Amino acid sequence: MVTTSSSLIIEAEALDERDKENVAIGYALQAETKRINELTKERFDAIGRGDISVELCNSTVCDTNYSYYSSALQAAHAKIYATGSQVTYQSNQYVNDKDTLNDVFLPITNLFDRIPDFLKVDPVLIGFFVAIFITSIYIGRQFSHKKRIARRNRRDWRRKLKELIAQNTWRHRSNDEPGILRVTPEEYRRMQEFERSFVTVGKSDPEYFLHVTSGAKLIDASRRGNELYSINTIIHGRSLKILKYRDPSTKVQDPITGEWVGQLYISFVPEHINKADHGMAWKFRLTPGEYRRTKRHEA
Amino acid sequence: MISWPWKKPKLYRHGDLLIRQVKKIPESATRLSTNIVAHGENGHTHKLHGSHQVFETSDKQILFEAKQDLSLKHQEHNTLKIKKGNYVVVHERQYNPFNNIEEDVLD
Repeated sequence: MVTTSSSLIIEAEALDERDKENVAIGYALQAETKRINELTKERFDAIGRGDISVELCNSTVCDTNYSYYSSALQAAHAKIYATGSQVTYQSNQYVNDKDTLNDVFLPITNLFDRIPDFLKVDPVLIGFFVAIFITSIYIGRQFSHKKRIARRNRRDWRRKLKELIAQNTWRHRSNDEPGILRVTPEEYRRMQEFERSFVTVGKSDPEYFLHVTSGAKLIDASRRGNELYSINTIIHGRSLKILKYRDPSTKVQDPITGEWVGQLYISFVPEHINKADHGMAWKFRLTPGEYRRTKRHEA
Repeated sequence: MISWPWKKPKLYRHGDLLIRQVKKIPESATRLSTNIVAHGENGHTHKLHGSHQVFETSDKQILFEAKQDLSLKHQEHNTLKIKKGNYVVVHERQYNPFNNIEEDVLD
């Protein structure tokens, strides 16, 4: 009787010499297949444990096993096919019973059971990236449009103050009486030119006047669309504040978008006003809070 | 001087005008038989439509009493609905930096 570790038992006495040889070859191949399967299982187990990497396995060690595995099975298949053995060829494996079949697929099952736990991330690392994210937002906000304007205003104000103190004109300007403005002839000439430009260009095309003709600097913009500009170059040591605003009761069609929007106007406001909405409140003799309330009652 | 007796009077903006609610009309104000509360530079007017009475104070301030809900109309502006009550008309002003004075805006 020929026996193997498998469950298949064949009565050797009932066979002739050639069949005996074929059965022996079949069992030999079966044993070889099982050994290769064990090697494969060991390889997957090693990958699962992390002893060897998949890349290393593919490039060196396992290639050798695989080529041996592949060539041995091909040879065995040819031999068994020639001898008509009952050891069958299934799924690229030689199997002769259920146990062997299980052995073949076991390593693959184990591979999925042993997926490396790479999803776990170090909390310290997460904290580090969150800190970088928050810091970048903070730095970005420091360079926002509004803060840039505020910084520029503070810079201009300090420079202006130094000039006034150096020329001893601070007191002189602040004591101007209503209806009286003391200026030099050069300033008077500039004022006349500017006033003429304001009346002609400023009334017909406020945007062009502000951004091209006058060279005014934007110092504040509000959510209601009001903008406050400043010009320091006309009267020495003094800022001319110009408010740009829209009249919601006078609708004009926007030439670009085609939408109906409020007519655009510009108007001078006193020098002490630094907010666009405060300028609008001043124009209507309102407090800033009262001006906010007029939003729903404009026509 | 007109006082603002309560915290949140009604405020309406109509072009260059601000219509502000007041508690009462001063007794010294004189009645005017007109429905025009403001004139513009180019002949345009702000006109009241509805039951009302216009007043003028000695310092040329215009007030009106809306006896019912009114509408205020102007050739260039949208029509404004005004609730019943007493109101004072405030003109928009602008600053003249070259003369250092304030001026009323007329449209």
